[in-house]
Amino acid sequence: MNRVIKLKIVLDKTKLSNLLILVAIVGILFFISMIAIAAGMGIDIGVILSMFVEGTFGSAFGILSVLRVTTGLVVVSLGLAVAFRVGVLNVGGDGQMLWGALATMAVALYLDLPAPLMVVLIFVLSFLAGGGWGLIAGFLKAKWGVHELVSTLMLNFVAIATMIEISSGPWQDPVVLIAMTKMIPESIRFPFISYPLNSVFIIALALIPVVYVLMNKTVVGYKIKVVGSNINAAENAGMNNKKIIMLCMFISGGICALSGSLLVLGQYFRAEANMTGKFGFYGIVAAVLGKCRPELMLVTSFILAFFITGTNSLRVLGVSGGFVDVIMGILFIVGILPELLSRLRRR
Amino acid sequence: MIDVMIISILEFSPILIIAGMGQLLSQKSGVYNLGIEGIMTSGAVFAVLAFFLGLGSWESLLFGTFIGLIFGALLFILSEKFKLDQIVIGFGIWFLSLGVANALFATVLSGEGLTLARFEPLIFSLNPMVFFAFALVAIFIYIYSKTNFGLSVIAVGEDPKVADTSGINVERIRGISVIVGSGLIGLAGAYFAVHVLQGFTYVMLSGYGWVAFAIVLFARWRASYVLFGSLFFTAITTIVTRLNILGITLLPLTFMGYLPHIAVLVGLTLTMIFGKKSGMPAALGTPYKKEEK
Repeated sequence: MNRVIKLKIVLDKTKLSNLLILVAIVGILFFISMIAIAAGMGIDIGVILSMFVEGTFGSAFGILSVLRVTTGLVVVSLGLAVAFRVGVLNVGGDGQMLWGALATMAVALYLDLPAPLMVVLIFVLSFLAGGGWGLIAGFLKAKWGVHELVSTLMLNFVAIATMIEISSGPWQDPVVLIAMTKMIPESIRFPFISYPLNSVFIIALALIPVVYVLMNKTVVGYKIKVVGSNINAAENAGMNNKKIIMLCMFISGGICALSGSLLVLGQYFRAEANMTGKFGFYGIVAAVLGKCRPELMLVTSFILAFFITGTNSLRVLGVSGGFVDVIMGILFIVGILPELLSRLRRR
Repeated sequence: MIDVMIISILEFSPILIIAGMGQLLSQKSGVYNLGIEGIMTSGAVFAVLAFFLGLGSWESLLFGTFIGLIFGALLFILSEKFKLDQIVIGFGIWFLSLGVANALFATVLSGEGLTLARFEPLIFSLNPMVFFAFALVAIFIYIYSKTNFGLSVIAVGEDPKVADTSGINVERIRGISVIVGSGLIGLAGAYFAVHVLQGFTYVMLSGYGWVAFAIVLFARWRASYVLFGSLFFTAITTIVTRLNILGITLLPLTFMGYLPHIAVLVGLTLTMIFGKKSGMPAALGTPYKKEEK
């Protein structure tokens, strides 16, 4: 009854050199569009480029900013990859992140325990909150075949509405007049390695081997792989597909929520509705380009973070933030170029 | 009061009807158009751009449609000519079109203070596009039940291999369906910008494209149900707005704004539970490879 749309992620041996070619092509396209922008806005191209380099690799601050963006992005893409592996298109990363942030704020504002205990509790609760949010979509899909693309997207809006209500209601910071929650206590803020890079970066890195082991060395990971590659074969082999799909959405939502709580603990120290910065969508790009392999997703997240940070640093000049989306679209389409070339060669 | 509301529902409804029809056309032939949200946004921004360049309302709609056609062609070439994954391509087009729209809007159009001219009402104080939207549904029902082309589209969507052996040009049928469908989606966005909002804001489309996508699933791939679904969800939006103006709030205000999205999810779930027959094209989501025989 449930027709699962399979997101075919080719688990081939993608080499790093392919990724580097990809970066080069995107770089060229990026350069061309930069020239177009400069011409359109009447700004000297040299100024734009130097700003871009300054904002990314040209300065210590730039490099650290890129790593800071990587932190959130890599965790989201790890979460989404778990769902993509089983063929479920989780596009609700933003909503799940917001639930992670809400759980974090709840613990931070209402409990007063020793800091290490608080942090552990925050991670557990935000995993459960985001996982539960993902599980709604997973349950609807497994039980009645409701398309996850619709359910996860629509649940995003519900999560955003919840966050707006809470951050402008009971938890609002009395100092600011916009919808933002109060700050979390000093004791549970993670220290900065060197501003703006926070030590939560290390937690993000530590999650990569965890997800790798989960996907490649455990029974659950094996089942995920089988269900993802051929759902009928899995059913014939006696696997409970519905259970696997629900479990995947739970884990996926949980990891995405951890990203939200890392953003609260290490970057904003509070929560608001647009804190996710569309990471739930950019994470899709990182996961698909990285072929849903944790080690590759670190590289793709880093590349994406480079473009996001660079474009954001151009905002001073009046370059639109919407430009980040253009880069993402180009990356996505160019990212499948190796496959395209091999198809052409076979013709 | 009631007649004002009915007119307002009918004036809003072409957005979802036309976009839903575009998506339906594409999906009937077996291709998901996941760029829908972005293509609608692009259609809207390009319509505003056309207006900014001094064109009239109708030309603005054409401009929006044209952008839809271009993205449709991109989707078709990548997904059917090169047989790449429709979903990945769809996401790519979604980001690309959304980004192009936002970047263009921010660089050229923002702060221009445009006021777009609405369409003149035709009869019953309804504008011509409302009649166009309803006519479109009738045409679609006719095409799918009576014409050769419509039956070919259904055949291609159900089983491209069988369609191919019986002499139907699969690539051409899919090409027409995807590109025209995408054009309709662009048109829906353009209508939204020109007539309903009279401009463009970043938040305007907040998920409307995806609502249209959901309506196609909700309608079980039937043109007449798409019409009813669109009218139903437009009615919810309109009534909610009306209640907000009157100061009656059943839920906190932010939730009221997202009520159509919640209604779509609930509606889709209910259809999945109680709906008996699914009209889902069997080959939906799979590119047709001729050499794999």
